[in-house]
Amino acid sequence: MKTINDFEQGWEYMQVGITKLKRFVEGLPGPALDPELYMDLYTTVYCRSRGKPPHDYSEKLYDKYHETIEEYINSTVLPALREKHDDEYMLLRELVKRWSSHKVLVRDLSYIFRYLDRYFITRRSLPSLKEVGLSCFRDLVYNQVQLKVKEAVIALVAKEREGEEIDRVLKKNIKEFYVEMERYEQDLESFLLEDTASYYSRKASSWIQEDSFLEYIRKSEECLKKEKERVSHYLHPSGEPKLVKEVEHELLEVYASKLLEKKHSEFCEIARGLEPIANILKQHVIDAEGEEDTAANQEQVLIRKVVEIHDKYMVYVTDCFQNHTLFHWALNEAFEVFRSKTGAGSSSSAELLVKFCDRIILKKWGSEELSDEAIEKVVKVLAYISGDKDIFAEFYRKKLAHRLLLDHGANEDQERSIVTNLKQIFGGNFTFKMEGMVTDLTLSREHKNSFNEYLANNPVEKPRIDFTITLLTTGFWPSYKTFDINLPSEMVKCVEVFKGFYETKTTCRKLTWIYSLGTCHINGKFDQKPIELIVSTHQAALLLLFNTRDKLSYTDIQTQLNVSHEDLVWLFHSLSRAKYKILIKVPSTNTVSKTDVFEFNSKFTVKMRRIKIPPPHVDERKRVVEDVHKDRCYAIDAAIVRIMKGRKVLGHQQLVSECIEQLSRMFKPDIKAIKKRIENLITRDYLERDKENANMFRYLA
Amino acid sequence: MDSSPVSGRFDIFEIYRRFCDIRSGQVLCNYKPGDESQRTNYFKEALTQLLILVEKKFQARNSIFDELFKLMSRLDLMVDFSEFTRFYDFVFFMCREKGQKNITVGRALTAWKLVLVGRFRLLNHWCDFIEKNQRHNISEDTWQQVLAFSRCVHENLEGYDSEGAWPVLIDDFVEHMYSILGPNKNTRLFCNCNDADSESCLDEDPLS
Repeated sequence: MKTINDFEQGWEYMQVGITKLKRFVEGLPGPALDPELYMDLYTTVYCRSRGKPPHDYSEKLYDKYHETIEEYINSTVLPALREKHDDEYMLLRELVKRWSSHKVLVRDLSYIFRYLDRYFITRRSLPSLKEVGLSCFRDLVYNQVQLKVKEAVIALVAKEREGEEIDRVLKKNIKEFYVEMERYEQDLESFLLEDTASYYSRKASSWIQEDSFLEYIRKSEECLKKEKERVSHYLHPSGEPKLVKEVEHELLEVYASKLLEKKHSEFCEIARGLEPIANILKQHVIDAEGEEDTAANQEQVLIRKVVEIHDKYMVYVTDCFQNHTLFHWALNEAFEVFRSKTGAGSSSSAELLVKFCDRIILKKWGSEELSDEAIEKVVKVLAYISGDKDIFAEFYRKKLAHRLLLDHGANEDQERSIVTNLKQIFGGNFTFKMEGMVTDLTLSREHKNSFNEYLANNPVEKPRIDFTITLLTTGFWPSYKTFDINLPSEMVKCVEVFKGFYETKTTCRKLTWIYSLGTCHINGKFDQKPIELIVSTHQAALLLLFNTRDKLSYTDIQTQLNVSHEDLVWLFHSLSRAKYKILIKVPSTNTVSKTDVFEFNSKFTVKMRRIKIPPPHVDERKRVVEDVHKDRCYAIDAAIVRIMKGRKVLGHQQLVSECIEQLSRMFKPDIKAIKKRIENLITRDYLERDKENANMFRYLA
Repeated sequence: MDSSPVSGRFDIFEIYRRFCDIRSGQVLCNYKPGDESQRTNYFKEALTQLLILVEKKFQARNSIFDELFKLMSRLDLMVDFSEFTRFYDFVFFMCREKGQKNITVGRALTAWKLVLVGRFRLLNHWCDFIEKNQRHNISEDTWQQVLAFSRCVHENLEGYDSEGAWPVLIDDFVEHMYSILGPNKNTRLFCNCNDADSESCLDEDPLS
């Protein structure tokens, strides 16, 4: 009995101390436990737990320890928490407070009972004193309040998201509490993530409806940033990536397609807003053009002004309108207006532009290198050719041929670079022939070299006059009107020699001589001084006739040269009625008739030692237009046949519209032209009208 | 085809008979049916052969138009469309010269005046217009479409569909007519073919 009493006595004594401890932990007035009392209490436990059974009260003490904590929790902690149940703030604060005092209590109690830890607990592998303290709290407090606490935490987070200032230390403590409870992941983090997800899902669904794309993205970014910042306060570091992922998912991934849609439609909306401004710009440019139009009636001035206007407004578009496509369009359309306006005049804008380019290119050459900028400028202007690309191409080829063949110090590299630029704008089909022309010239130089070698190896063949040839590929070059003429024997020799040479190179190609492109240098022995005359091949052939006689009748000349009357008239004009009068026409009238007589003008003289006599006039413009017309007919034919070959039977309207679509890349064919070609194809048995329906065509294979 | 030597008189009636045979496909009966392109080829070939024969053997005592007129007066052309259409095509065939596919404007005009009188309300306008504006020969398609045009169009140009596949010549004619008629399309100033009976003849079978 003594021992029991002994235990009871000891326990009573201890309880006094423990009560003291509790009061201290509660923060109630009263003295703290001095080390002496600690020692006494410890000794009490020590004495009662080291005896041999049945005097070992270890188990009882262990239970008492447990009971003490439970009693403390039930009597103090829980009521206190219950009191604060309704306010999440107070509840969390109380919990944190209670938890920290509980820890103090457990710490101090376990000091007193420490001896149990040492033998009794280890021997029996029971939970340590600390663990008992913890599990008591968990079982009794945590399990009771955790739902409420969790809600409170989530509410707090939500409040903070809405911008309320939140006691961050408190949140941090709560987080630590959960970690210490070993319930962080399952009881807090998962719910927090879930809540975050649903929160942002709600947000996103309202934003996507109310806000613009940019606003949405801005808000999302803001949220992500804030969320990252916040997360360190209420989540364990490991939770951060999880949360960020959650937020990103809800805000961006879920609405990705909707966002893109929104983005697109909104930019259209913005564009629509900009339209009036673009229209104003367009009208302004058109007006500016109109002014220049009236001020400058000379073609070249007009084009130059237009280019200036273009440069000026291009700067506005790039600098002030952020290069927005809409403004490019406006500018484009404005220049389209200009294009059609000049098109109504005598010469089309396509032709004017070609002339302008020609001028730019020629002006720059000879003196200095054609700068890249200048080339760019040229090409920029060319980009405004939209409808009549084929006319432009034809004129351009004509001018290019002129530059390349008549040797204005032609620079192949420059030409090639312009052609490359054109290719980028209009495509390879468009520049195919031009490229061929430039390449021809390069190849031709090689031909010249090997021809010279050939002559050196065959001295017998060498003609008495110097001559060079340029070998061109038919098809690449514009078609030249040329007429045959009986060449003087010297030149015939040249032609034959070259023929002989060419046959050694290739056998299956046919040589056609275009005399109208040739130039000859001949010496005129005039009375005052000899003058070198630069003339065309035809002119040279005519002049050389006067080597034998000073006077020749029209009929003599015609029989000797074997040239038609019309061609001869132009030849005579260029030599007797133009600037330089090498021949004297008798009678001296402006019209050439078959009874005229021509005489070599030995009195003729000029200051220069060498003069270039302009070749007979040919109406190039008309020919280009005719050529283009012919090419268009072929193109329309080809398009119709291509379409009908595929469809076999097709209605008239459909055929016409498909035809226009196919050809629109090169030019805008008019319906009448297409109808005419359809009729032509019917006559040529490519098509026939359906017997029942006159508006249907059948393809005849 | 029937290229046997001319038996008996080779006159306009005989030529027309042969033309009709070819058109109806009787001469082609020994060829495989169903082969459309072959059929068309033989059809064309037969016509060409006939044309050669006509050029060689046919010596009209009068001009071909007199002969055609003679033929026309013998045929019962008022009965139905297809009979007249065949005759109309035959006229084109007879107007072809030297194997040409198209006929000259002069012949076309004479032929139209001969065969379309009373059938085409705008005939005089049409012929005036062609005389002044058309330089090129008339193709078979244009020839045939003129008949179709004459059938569907009224003197106020009602019935003409500008979206339709009319030959350009007819489009131009309509444009020209609009410029004469002015904006009021309903003006009835041009009742040149005022023979109301002939019109009804086209629409109704007088024998019924």
